[in-house]
Amino acid sequence: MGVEERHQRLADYPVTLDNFEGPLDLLLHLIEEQQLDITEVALAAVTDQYLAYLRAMEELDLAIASEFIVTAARLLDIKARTLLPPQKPAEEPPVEEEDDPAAELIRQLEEFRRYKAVAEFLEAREAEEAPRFPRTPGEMEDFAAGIQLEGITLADLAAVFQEVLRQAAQRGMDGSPAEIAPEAITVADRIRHVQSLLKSSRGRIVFLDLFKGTPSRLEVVVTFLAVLELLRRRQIKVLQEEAMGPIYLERLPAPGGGQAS
Amino acid sequence: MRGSDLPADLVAGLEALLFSSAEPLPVARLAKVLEVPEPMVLAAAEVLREQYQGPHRGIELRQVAGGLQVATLPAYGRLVQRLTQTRRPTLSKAALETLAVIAYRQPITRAEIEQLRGVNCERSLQTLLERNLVVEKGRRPGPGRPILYGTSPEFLVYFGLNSLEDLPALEDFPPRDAPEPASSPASPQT
Repeated sequence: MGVEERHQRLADYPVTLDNFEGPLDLLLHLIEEQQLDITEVALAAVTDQYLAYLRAMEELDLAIASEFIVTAARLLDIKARTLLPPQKPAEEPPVEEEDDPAAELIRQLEEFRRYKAVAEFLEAREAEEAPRFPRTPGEMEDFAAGIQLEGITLADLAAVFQEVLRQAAQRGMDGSPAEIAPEAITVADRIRHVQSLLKSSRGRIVFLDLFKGTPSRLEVVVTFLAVLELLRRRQIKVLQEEAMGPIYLERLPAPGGGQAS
Repeated sequence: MRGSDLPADLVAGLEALLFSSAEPLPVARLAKVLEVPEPMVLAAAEVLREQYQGPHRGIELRQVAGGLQVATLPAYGRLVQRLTQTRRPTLSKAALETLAVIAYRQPITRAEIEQLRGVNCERSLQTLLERNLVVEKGRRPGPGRPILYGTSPEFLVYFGLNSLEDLPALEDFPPRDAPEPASSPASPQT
């Protein structure tokens, strides 16, 4: 089936293929579209449309996030209950309230609707604030914030680098016999080295410790490049807790495992 | 305190400090630098504010993020943009929703945000962290010690708020002018 044809068939579905921010967003849209209050009856009423939307996404070969499917199951559960004849109230145990799937979903939807309204409020404020410009928009500060160099200037990093070079040079002059070997140090190697150090020290190491026992200038340089690369990849951050104090590297939570973008 | 009772240089000095700073300056800090008590700073600020409200002025004095700040008048926003040729990207719907949850429920973990929004929030959270609107606020004790997130001072500046108390009460959402759902009971849909 061609793309054209698919789009044609989608036109038959009772829902539009707008971009929804998750199952709650879609559900709320369907309920509000029908001008219903958020009730168990409303949930049962929009279940079919919700499922149609999922089918439409399927036909478009869109990846359906698992959250959508979980909510579909909850909806079907709720709808099934509304279709069953009501139990005699006398025999109903009092704990029933707590695992009532409809009540839980309704509560979630109401709360979600609230935050959605807050988001709209924030959006309006954002638009209102956009044409105001304070002194120095501080573009450089934005960059600094982006790579999380908390309170560290370029000069600080350069100074540390100088210190490392000085130490390396001192070690070179201690009179011990020099061993000359072909050097094959890659940034990738050093990245793995830094990562393993971070791993073995609970995600946090002192910057200077990276260069302990480092004999060659090349290794220092490449290790430094590895640190910059890890920063760029946002795998680590650099922080200094006090002026002139030691600089630390800290592992950042891996951004992997997210949904496809 | 009337403006005429203030030391001669105070208003001018205050203006110089505000002009020099990109960040909102707290009154306490200004008082310390200007070496006068805080009420005097506020009185001087009032004089300045009134002057800015006069004709031929393109800036205003604002109380933002618990401090004083001068900024261009919104009416000249387009003009300034023509000069800078830059545009601040607006936040996505997902990012705004994530931020809404964080603003009212902070400090909060990512799992809790996702529970409330019903979707993965990794990307929008990352955006908010990169734009410095949200910061880490330590870790929650307990299993996994998850990171807690909260809003930053930059958040207040970005949305022109003086403090978090300026946010409307959560109970007031959705606002009253939102379309009222029909009161008629739902009939089964086809």
